[in-house]
Amino acid sequence: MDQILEGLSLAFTFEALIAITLGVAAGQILGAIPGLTASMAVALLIPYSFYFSPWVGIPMLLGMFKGSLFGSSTTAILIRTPGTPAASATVLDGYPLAQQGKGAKAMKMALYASVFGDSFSDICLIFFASLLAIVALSFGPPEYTVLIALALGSLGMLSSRPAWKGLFAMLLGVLIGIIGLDPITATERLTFGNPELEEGIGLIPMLIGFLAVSEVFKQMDSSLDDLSGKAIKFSDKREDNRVSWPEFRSCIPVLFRSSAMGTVIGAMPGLGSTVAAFLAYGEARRTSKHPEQFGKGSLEGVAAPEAANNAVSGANLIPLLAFGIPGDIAAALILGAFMIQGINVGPLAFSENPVPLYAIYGALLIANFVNLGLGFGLVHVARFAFAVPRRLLLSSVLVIASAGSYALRGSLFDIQLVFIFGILGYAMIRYGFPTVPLLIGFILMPLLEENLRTVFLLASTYDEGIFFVFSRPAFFTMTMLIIFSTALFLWRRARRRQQSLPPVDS
Amino acid sequence: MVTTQSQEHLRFGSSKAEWVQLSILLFADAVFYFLIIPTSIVDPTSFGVDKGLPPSFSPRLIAALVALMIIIRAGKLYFGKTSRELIDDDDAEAQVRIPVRALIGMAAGLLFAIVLIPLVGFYISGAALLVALLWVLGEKRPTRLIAFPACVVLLIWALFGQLLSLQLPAGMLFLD
Repeated sequence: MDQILEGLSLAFTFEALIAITLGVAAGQILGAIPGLTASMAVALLIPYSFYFSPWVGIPMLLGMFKGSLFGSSTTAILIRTPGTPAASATVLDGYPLAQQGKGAKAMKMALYASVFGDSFSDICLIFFASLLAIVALSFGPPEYTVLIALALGSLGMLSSRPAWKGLFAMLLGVLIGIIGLDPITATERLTFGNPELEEGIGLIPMLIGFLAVSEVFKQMDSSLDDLSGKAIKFSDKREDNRVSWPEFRSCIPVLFRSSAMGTVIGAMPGLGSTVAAFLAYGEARRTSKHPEQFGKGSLEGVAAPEAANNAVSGANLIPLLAFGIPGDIAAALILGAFMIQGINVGPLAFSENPVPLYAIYGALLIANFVNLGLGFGLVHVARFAFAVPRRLLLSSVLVIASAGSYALRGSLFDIQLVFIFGILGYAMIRYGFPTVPLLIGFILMPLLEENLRTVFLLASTYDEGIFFVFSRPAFFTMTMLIIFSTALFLWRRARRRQQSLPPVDS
Repeated sequence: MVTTQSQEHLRFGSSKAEWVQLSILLFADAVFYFLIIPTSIVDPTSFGVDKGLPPSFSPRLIAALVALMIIIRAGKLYFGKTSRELIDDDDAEAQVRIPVRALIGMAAGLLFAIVLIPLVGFYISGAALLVALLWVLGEKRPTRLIAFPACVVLLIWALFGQLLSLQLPAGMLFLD
């Protein structure tokens, strides 16, 4: 108990609180800039954190990580430009809400969901870190393959009528994801001898091109009167600018489910917040009482991806703190900062010197409250910042997004890709092909292929061949759960159809 | 302005248009499968199916899935088992109108990314793009045409160049 109090007292010092506030504020601003990911924001701050004491530098980093995830959703909602890839699923319902004048409501829902998801995963981290880490590490290539294939199958038809156009877009995204060096043999694939393509296509140019630039091109053909009007119109009605308690209450089940999904996915090395957000969105739509509202401005559609992507941020630290294994780039960067500051993590840290870990837990929880408080400020700032004439906003989005796409890899080719993808995205929208399934296919493809091919490589070492996967408890349990939930879904659908049929004598 | 007939035609989707789309996609898919994959992906000889999947497996699988999807859709269209695509009025009108400003924006964007940035660097070309786009989008006031691009470029320079120490392309003309 003394150690817990000692740890918490480190997180509650004046300097630490100021550091968290600065970190969250910087994260929210940097996160809102297209191209600057949460990992990049953390990487940029690490050198500065070295000059501070550990209990100023580390809370600042954690605050920045959390702040950047919410910050990225504001531009995703208001101008269809996700600041980080994790907010791309928020575009699906956030942007339609903004177009209806309910941008402030959508941003506030995103804020509540972000803080909810963050807090949920932090509490899981504090109480169940070791247990969750053991479960997560029992997941190997076979389990990842099933999980990602399931996600691709269920998300492929998102926001698409007719369904074949959504599936086609997803397969196109999968194909673009193949470009580059083969993950197993390092053979060049579809690079046509261009060295720029060997690294593969970057996610940031894809997101900015297909979501933001295509939308800018589309809006450029609005009437000149529209273009001189305000870029984002906010409704004057009070109910359109806030999330009422009944609205929030209706989202609570979604928030719990999405946060749980985000926590589990975050605990697994390699999957990340973008995958979590899309999976949670798909699941929220599947289980919603009003699935027809998804894609048209559903609050659940904003709450689900935001809760899930933020839940990943706390859960990322589960394998890191429990075993010293970083789950993704951001966690690896935070581990680097811990090492620079002389903080040990891993199983021995809990028994030998747990005080720093309790301080980290304290900082994480404080950062959530600060994120909530500063988030309201950001919502108000965004309302003014995006009240400029639309033509000013559209043209500046193109230039700022170009700079953001260059920032991550320092490649001029990425700026060129932004415009090429923007044109392709515009053509797709014009001919009724949705762009979001394309992005889902692109994001999930490398993960799916790498795991699938590893499974086949592993199978060649077993006597029973590919059937070795059934000897893995995690795979077997997952397969059974999928079969059960699919059967339940089909049964429910059949029952609904039967109930909706008119009686024979009428 | 579109005629009522063409709007009606578009609103209820033309199966002819969809046939054209499907035919083009099937042709592109065949070219990809039979021409592009064999010429751009060389499978290492030791990677047979017995020792793991070859690098060309995934693109071939995707091409096969696309072909399957197109054939299923074509079958549904042929046998009339599909409801016609409903397009709302705005989209129908947008499909008929030539998107002049969008086309200019695309051309300007490509010029900016492919020619101007490598030549004069990000900041000058960014300002030039902003001026051009603002003009195309109806902004004729000289003060705004000058002040707004200057402010945006200054903001990018302060944020990326100074705060984050990320050097944007300088351009061939300004390289030492």
